[in-house]
Parts: sequence; C-alpha cells; structure tokens
Amino acid sequence: MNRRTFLKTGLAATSLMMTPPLLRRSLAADPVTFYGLKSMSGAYASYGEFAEKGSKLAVDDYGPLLGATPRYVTIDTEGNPGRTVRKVQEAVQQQNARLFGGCTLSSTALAVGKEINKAGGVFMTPAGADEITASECNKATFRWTVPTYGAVQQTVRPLFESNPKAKRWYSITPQYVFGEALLTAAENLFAELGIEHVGNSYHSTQEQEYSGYLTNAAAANPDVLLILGFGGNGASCLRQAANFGMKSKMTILLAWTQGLDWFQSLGPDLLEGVYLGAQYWHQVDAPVNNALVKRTREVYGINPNYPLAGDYIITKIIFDAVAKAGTTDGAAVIKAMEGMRYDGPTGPEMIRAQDHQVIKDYYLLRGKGKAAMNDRDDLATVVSSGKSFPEGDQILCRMR
Amino acid sequence: MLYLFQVLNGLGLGMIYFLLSAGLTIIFGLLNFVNFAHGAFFMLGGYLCWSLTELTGSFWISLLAGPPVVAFLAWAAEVTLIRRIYRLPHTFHILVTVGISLILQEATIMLWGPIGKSIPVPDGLQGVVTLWNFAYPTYRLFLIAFTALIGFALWYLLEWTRFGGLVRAGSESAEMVALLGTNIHRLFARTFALGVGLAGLAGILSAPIRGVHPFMGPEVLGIAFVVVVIGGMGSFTGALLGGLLVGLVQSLMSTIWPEGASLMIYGTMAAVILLRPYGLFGRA
Amino acid sequence: MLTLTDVHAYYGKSRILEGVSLFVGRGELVSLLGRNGAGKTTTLRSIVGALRPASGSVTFEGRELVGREIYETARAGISLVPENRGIFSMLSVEENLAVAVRPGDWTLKKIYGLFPVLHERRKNGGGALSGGEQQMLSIARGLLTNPKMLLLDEPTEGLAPVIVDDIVKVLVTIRQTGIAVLLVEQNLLICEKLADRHYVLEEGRIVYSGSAEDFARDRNNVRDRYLAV
Repeated sequence: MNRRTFLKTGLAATSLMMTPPLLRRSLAADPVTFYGLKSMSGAYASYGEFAEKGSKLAVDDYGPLLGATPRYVTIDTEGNPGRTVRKVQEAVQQQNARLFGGCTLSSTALAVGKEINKAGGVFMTPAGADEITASECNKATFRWTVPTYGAVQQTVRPLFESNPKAKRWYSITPQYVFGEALLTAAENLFAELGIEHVGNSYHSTQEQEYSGYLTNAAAANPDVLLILGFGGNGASCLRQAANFGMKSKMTILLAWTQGLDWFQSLGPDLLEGVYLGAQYWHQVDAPVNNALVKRTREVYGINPNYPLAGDYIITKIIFDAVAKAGTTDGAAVIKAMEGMRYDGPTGPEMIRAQDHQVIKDYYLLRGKGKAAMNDRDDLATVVSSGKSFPEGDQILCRMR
Repeated sequence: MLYLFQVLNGLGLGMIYFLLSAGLTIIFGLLNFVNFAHGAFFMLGGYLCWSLTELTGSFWISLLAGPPVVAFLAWAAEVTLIRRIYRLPHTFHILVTVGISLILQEATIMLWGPIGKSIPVPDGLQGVVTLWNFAYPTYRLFLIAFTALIGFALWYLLEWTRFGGLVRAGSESAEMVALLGTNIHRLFARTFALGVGLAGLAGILSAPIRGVHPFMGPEVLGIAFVVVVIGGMGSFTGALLGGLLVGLVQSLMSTIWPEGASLMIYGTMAAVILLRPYGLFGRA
Repeated sequence: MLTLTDVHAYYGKSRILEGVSLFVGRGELVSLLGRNGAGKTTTLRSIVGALRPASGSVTFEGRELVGREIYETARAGISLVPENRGIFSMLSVEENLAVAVRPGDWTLKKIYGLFPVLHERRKNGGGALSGGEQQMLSIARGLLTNPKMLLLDEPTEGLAPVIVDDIVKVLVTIRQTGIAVLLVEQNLLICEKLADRHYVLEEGRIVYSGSAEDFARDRNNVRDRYLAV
C-alpha cells in the first residue's frame, strides 16, 4: 500500500484503539479514591494489617459514591515518616490524590498532615499524640482517637470514684513526649481528686527490664499502680508486675492500651483483675458497632479491634463527607466534616469544628479471668465510659 | 534492702546475658566468626518455647526440647552456609548473619504473626518467695540457680572434656588441631550449634519474664556484643563476668538513674576498653 | 611409602616449589636440607595439605593426598611437627598431649617415659615452657597420634647444644620404633648422624639426592654449594 493509505489506516486504527478508554472516561465519573496510609511492613505491620482490613471493609460496603464505585489505594508507611511523606507527595502530584486516612505512628501522622494540608487535601488519623489536634493542628487534619486528657480522665477518675480509699498511686512512665503528656494529665487529676502521688519511675521506650522500677514501686506501698506505657512497654511491665506478685497487693491500671489484639497477646491469666483504658471495645452495644462486628466476622472471621474499627470509621466518615459536599474538593469536604454528627463504633460521635477532634467515648475495662470468659475474645468487661476533652481555653489548637 | 533486690535482679539478668554471650564468644574464639544472627536464635528459642508450651502445656518440655531444636537449626545453617564464609573478612560474616536474622524475623512473623506473645510461668515456679518485707519471684530465683548450673556444666565441658580441650586448642590454632587429626569441620559445626543452642536456651528461660515478639533479636544482640567486648572476645570467664557486670549495672541504674540505664551499659563498655582494650580477659 | 612427584606450589604469586620429587620408604629417616627460603617448610605443608600444590602428586601408601583435608592426611598416618611447634599456650602440657591421643602403641605413659621433663611439667601452661621443652612437647604430641610417618620441621632450630643432644637422642629412639621420618634441617651434622638418605632443596627444586654413603663423600661440596650462607 502507498504511504498515504498507510498513514490513514494507522490513524484510524489508533483512534479505534483509543476509543474505549476515551469513551469510558467521558461516560463515567472519576471514582472517588481513598488513599489508606497503613504500616504494612516494619515493626508496626500488625496494626497495618488490621487497619487495612477496616478501610477495605468500609470501601467495599459503601456502594456508589458520586456516581461511581469508590476506589481504595494502599500506601505502605513502612513505619517511616520520611518515606511516607514522599509517597504522599507522589500520590498528590501524579494521581491527584486528595483523600487520605490512617497512620499508626504520630510522627508519620504529623508529617503527612502538613503535606496534605499544603496540597489542599483531607486527612483523618487514629494516631495518638496530643499535638495532632492541639499545637500542630491544621485545616486538613482530623483525628478519631481520644488524646491523653480524655484517656486519663476516663480511667483514673471512675476508678478512684469507685474506690475512694485507694489514695496512694504510683506511676511508671515511658520517658518521651507522649508518656509525659499522660503523666501531666494524671498529675493534674490527682491534684483535683486529692490522690497522693507517692512516686513515679521513668523508663526508656526501649526498656525490657522493669524489675527495678517495680521494686521501687512496691517499696512505696501504693494502692494503685498506674502504668502509662503501652504496646511492648505496657506488656513487659504488666507481665513483670504479675511475676512479682503485685496483682494481689495493689490495683493495676493501664491508662492507654491498644485493645483486643494486645489483650490476646497477653492472655486472660495476666489480664484478670487489671484495669485497662481503651479507645474501642467490640462488645459495646451501639448500632454501627453491632453492624461492624457482624460484618467483620462475616468477611474476616474475626472480631474487630481498635485499628480495624478506627480505620473503618475514618474511611466511612470521609466518604460520607464527600457525599454530603457533593465533591472531592478539599475545602468542601473539610467544611462538611466540621461539626458532623454521626453514629460511630462507640455510639454517637461528633467532629468538633474548632480542633477537628472527634468527640467520642473512651472506655475503662477490667480484665476477666479465664473462668468468666464466654468466648476467646471475651477478655474484658466495660466498667465505665464517657467523653472527656479539653474545653474552651484548654483547647490548644489555633487553626482559625 | 532495695539494693539487695536490685542486685538479685541484676544477677538474674546477668546470667541470661552470660548464656547469650557465652555462645557468641565461643563461636568467635574458635571459629573467628562474628555471628550477628545470635539474637535471632534467641528469639527463635523464645517462640519455640511458646509453641511447645501451647502444644504440650508444659514449660519443662520446651526447656528440654527447645535448645536441641535451635542447635540443630544452627548446625544446618553451619554446614550449608556458614562454613563457606569463614575465610572471608568479618564484614562478610556480619552481612550474611544479618541476612539470616532478617529471614528468621520475617519467618517468625509469617508463622506466629506480628504481635508478641506471652508465656506463663510454669506451675510450681509461680508466685513469690518472701524475704523479710519483700517478695521475690520464685521463677527468677530458679533462673539464677538453673543458669548457674548450666554455666558450671559449660565450664566442665570446656575444661575437662576432650571436646572442650579441642575447642580451646582450636581457638589458638585451628590448623594445629587439624594437624593432630581432628575433623575441624565437625568441630566447628558442633561448636556453632552449641553456641547458638545456648542462645536458644537463654531465649526459652527469659520468655516467661519478657514474653516474645518478632523484633526482640536485635535488642538482645546489642547487649550480647557489649558483654563479649567487656569480657574479651573468646573468653568464657569474660562472658560470665561481663554478663553479670552488665546485668548489675542495668539493674542498679534503674534505681539510681533509670533514664541512663542503657547509656551506662555502653559507658561501662567504654570504660573497660579504655583500661583494657581487649576486654577483661581477652587476648590480642 | 611417601612419594612426591613434580610438585609445584605457590604462595600467592610467588613460586616456591618448582617441581619437587622425592620419596621416603618404610622405616627410613630421610633428611631434607637447604638454605632459608629454599622451600623446605612449603614442601612439608604441601604434603599434609596445609598448602594445596598447583600441580604434581603426593601419594602415601599408594593413595593420593593432594586435595585432601589436613585432618584426613593426619588420620592417614602422617604427623607434622611444625617449625613454630604449635603449642597451645593456654592449655597445660597434659592437655596439649591429651588432645593428640589416638589409639596405638604410643600411650601417654610411654611418652612420659621418653620425655620425663614433660611429666615433671605436665601441669604447667604450654606457654610457660622453654624452647627446648616446647619442642619436646611438640614431638611428643606428634608421636601420640601414633603416626606411620613423622615430618619434622627444623626441630633443633634455635636450641642450645645440650638440648639439641637430647632431641637427637629422642629421634634415635623414634627411628628404632620403625616410624618413617622426613627430617627438615639446616644442621648438617644432625642429618649425617641420623639419616639413611639425603635430599637438598634449592630454590624449589631438588638439586641433590643421595644415600648416607654418597653423602659422606659429597658433603663438603654440597655444603659449600647449597648450604653455605
């Protein structure tokens, strides 16, 4: 064939090949895409696994959003803030990503929140550091987790009020910003309630050997041992406290725990009679929680835990906000989220406009012994729950 | 009184560190091999303890069966991989053994999940022994006694048996030992298995106190090397005294200056090296 | 019993042995003479497998030794008493001997009989012995493995004449037991006294080979050409 025919045929063929994608793009709306920041590898991979399940469940069960099935993309934080920030930047620049949720580590959450704020996106996280909705707050960042103030208020106060004779409290505190925040909140509350703070032991976050601190604590003869470490720190400390026979001598309270998965690794014998603060508990009777538990059992064969529930509701909130705003434009979604009231895994929840903090319950649980358990995950009962957050002048966020 | 208990704690801790480092120092002494996978085998011992205890309900079975399994795995690693790299510089040893420890770490996560686990203190050793006003956990006393026994058995092995004689002789000159007709491949493999088996044993013994989690390997590896450097590479006595020293420092510091406990361990190491560059009992 | 055929050996890029051929018969004591650097130690190390020859063959009782592990040649019945003596300084004399024991005529008791000084010093650390005592210990260890053949690398080097006499006496006794010996030495007199045959090595090659009688005749020539400094 001659050159002209060749060119014409080539052009026609190419156009033909291009048509389906072009047609698809013009006929369908761009699906709403949610970018989940999960620690899928590295030291925090266990949380990432559950968080991923939560987000996926929310996305899969959502139905159409703005005329299309919503999409979900995982970004592996690798437990590394620097790398996560780069990945977020890439997603923003190359894929026009605007809706983000997740992050186990506060350091990652803070770094990423700044980045997403610059890009005009929306970011909601379950990370724990107070700064996220206080000194480091910004327009794009929202937080589901109850910070240190509430964790202490909702554990120390009800425990003391049910046992006002327990006046001597000893604390064991991991020495870093978060531990200090918990300790400060505790000390303020001790002063208010008239609790005698008989001593405090600091330990490094790398600490494995708590026998020294526990011996000091025992020597002070407290009524309550307040353990402010969590995760591995909390586990080792509690385990060794039990080894030293301290459970029979005093009440033990861990103000901040990760909930079910952490309980599972310790086992009912260790947890029996121990008071535990938690952000979420699967046995709580609330409509959204009941549905979540049912669905999680159906899809994954497990009970939901805190990372799963947290990222589930975060994903759902952002989608609901997009639906409410009618667009994925950052500013509009943010406006839709501010002041939003909804049913969450802890019952009725509300996103406070001033600092983008979700107002929700925090739980005081008590470990059940093996004999009292009805099933494998029935490791604790709810003793009390409630909402405690800094108000008015105490709100440190200055976004406005 | 408080200090007495810190000393007891330090002793218990120190004995675990001794077991861990004894293996490391023997391996370095005879094989001239830097084993950065030592911590990973410590972790493996702990996890085997959990599995065997779950399976059989008895910690004692784990204690009996666990170390041989770890030793066997180490032996397998030696004959397939480690023995090919002895002649390479120490940096290669580190490279390969770090690789092994990462593989073991990920395998652990795959087999047992990423969350840590607890092992209950065995029946009969639960509870506390009451001394004056204070209670000291029975299990920790058992630990001190048991590791002392193992330490004695090790000493006997090294000083009074032919195997021990060959290990000590081989530490000076593996070639000479070969010239006298000893199969050094077998000697090396067995020594490696013994050394690593001790790490596994340490992991099993410390599991009821510390639990297990997939990242515990690197944590103990650091301490093991500090102990070996303080005691002197290749010295059994050094591993014992170094281990006890580090255990005591760590324990006493948690009363005197908790934040500085880790720092003081490295500070002690620095002080020892300044005074005796080859460690307390090391040789050039 | 032991035959080397055209053995070439290198240390890195340096050629040390350039085609060494020699043999030691059953029960013979053969000497290997040469200046420093001639390649005597290298020859012995090539036999036991401490150094792998680049080419050539080493057979012992008909079996090829090249490529075998050191401990395999040791177990085949060849015992090397090295130049540096190889004493384990942190083990006692007794322990040094204990790690060498293999079944056979040579027992610890018999060794202590031949080397009374070792019995006296048996609890001392190997590193605490004098040069002569260490040499005795090294030879004693070699014997305790009950070898068929002993390779001795300069056993009298650096020792006082009195001690040298003691060592020669020991070697005479060893000869009488029927163990074959390949004796590397720079000391001409000792070799003449003990050996059945002599080889001279120069720059990696055998430049002289002869019986005791031949050597008695040629010795001054040989000395002046190959052994004088």
